[in-house]
Amino acid sequence: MAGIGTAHLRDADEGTLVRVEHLVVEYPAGQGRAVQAVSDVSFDIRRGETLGLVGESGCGKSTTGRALLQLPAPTDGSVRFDGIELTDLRGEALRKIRPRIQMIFQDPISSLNETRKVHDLVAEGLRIWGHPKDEIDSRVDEVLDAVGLDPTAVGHRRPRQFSGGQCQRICIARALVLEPELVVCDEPVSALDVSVQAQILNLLEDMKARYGLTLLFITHDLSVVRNISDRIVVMYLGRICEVASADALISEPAHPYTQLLIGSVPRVGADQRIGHTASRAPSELPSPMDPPAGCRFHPRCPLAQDICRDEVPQTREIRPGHFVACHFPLVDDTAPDGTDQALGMGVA
Amino acid sequence: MSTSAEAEPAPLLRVDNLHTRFATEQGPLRAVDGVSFDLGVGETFGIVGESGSGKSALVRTIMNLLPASARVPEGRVLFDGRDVRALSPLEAKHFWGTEMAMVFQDPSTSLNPVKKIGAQVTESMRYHLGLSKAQATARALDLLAETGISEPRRRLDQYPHELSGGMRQRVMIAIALACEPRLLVADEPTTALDVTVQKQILELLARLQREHGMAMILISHDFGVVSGMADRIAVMYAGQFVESAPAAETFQDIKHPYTEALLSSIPRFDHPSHTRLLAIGGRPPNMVTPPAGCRFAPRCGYADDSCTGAPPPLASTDSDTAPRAASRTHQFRCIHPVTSSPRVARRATDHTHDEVTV
Repeated sequence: MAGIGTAHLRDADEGTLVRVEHLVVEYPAGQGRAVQAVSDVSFDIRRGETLGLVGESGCGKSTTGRALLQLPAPTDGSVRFDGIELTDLRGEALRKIRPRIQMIFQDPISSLNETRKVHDLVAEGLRIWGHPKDEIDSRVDEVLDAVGLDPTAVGHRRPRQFSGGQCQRICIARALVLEPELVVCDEPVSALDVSVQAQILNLLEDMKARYGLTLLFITHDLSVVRNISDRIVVMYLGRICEVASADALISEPAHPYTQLLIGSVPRVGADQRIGHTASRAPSELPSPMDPPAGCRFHPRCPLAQDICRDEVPQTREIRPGHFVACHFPLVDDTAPDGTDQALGMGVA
Repeated sequence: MSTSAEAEPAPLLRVDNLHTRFATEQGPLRAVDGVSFDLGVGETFGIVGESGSGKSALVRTIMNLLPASARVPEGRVLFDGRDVRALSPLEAKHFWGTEMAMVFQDPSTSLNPVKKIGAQVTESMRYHLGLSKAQATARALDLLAETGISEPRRRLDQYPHELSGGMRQRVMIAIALACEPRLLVADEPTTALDVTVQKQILELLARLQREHGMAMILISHDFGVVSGMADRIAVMYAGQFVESAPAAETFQDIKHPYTEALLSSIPRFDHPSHTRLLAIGGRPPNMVTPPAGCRFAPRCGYADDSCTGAPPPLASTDSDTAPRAASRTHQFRCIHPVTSSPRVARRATDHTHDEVTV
């Protein structure tokens, strides 16, 4: 099938930690059919970088993150981690890689076994790898302290005695205790109140600096991804729309879908009344069972032409380091207001 | 509070010193603790607060939809002059739908999964308005079309699981509007939805509200959602309104440190990436045994000894010479209100270490 390109991949060298190429993930959908959750996605992550993966439900962002960990292994494509092709690994060889890639999930409370003590939950990974007890205890205490929990006060307690934010701290400690190089964070703050969300985002930044981490940060929240990421990949219905630095993506979005996403975020402040005008017929995500041909965004795109229905757009560089997979990207910097109107966006 | 200088029309809804308690093993929990506000015909009142602030308990008290474990020891809810809590069960049943209707957060659990959309939209019209099946179906088609549902005729015969989340929320809104209520209560109506769908639903609510002349109470944890919709905004913390003001003033002239802290903890588009956020340390108080003084004092960067003695009285920004009507004032519960430009003189620190209070 037609790809969506790899123009946005940077040259692979010793600074490259992750390189995913032409990733395809299919799930069985009954009656012998398959639904393609991820359709030919490529991206790379440099050491020490935070890559944000953003999109709405069903865009394949979580599936992409899990495929990176081979949970499950992708249907097709390549996942190279520190130069090692993960899709070739099986059994013990794959198990040996796993401590180097850890994951943090959305719901911190259900991610923790409520019958076990915090110390044991965090120590589990070290115990599996057969570290001596003294070392386990000191490592667990150190990492609990690092995430802002007092080891002597919390170690013997159980998860239900903690708030959502504190449970997420425990989950972060559990991920960090194995000294991973890459942490895949799948909506880690989506279940939290904004004041707690701020604590956890700050904590992730601190942990990244302290332990030299590389992060893949998956979220639906544009404001959050803009805050934490160096580089952002926007996904729609299993494909990449746009790749750019966080600052460039938010200030100069070039894909009509990125513009729609950014324009849909309600802003705080005066003079931002939601439009009273009757909006156009609602446009929602098409079924991933039967994705549109050509550019998958074309049924919702106000700029779509015939070529968008026929030809899958390839990513191409429109400004240095700014890539977009669109036949008609919004690159005219002089008329951002005009394009806003063309897209029917009331929110500035 | 200053005396009202303007002649004010009687409000559609008056909530007067409302208290709601839930029975818990530890004792009565003060979910709502002295909330008052007025809502005029066609106005939108936005309530912003974090989990556990009491915002849902407040609207459930207003709607008279509390569980058996709840008590309302004090306060009144007057809808068009009638005491909502004094209604008989039969009167209350007619009240819901025809006078006040509600849209909930999660459309997938609020709709009956084994009843067709058509039956669910027509039910209240047949019950309350006494319409025939044909009349109710015709009106249901209009309502579904009005809420932007594609192919409304086909939807009547579908079940909720056959619709997307956004479509289900449109159905919920159609049901709420079926009997032309004068007040719509929307409790986190877009929280379960994607951001592009959220914008469509908010636009829909704004349009329907204007066309039907409805008043609306909009609850959200998201300042952005409320900011674009509300005429007046209240910030709720630990069962109380800590600040309430006309929408624009809420952001331009912040008075309560909690409002300031909450706004500062939101990541912003206009700040470069990796901008450090100002988190609020600690946790909200236990509402079985709330602090004696200001409830935000234990987490407040401006707090001193005078904050922990007695509860701060409700203050207003109005000068004595030019008082505004009560429902137009800017009120706050703080004895050290934020005076300088927001986000400048903030003394609150980013607590990395939480106190673990269990």
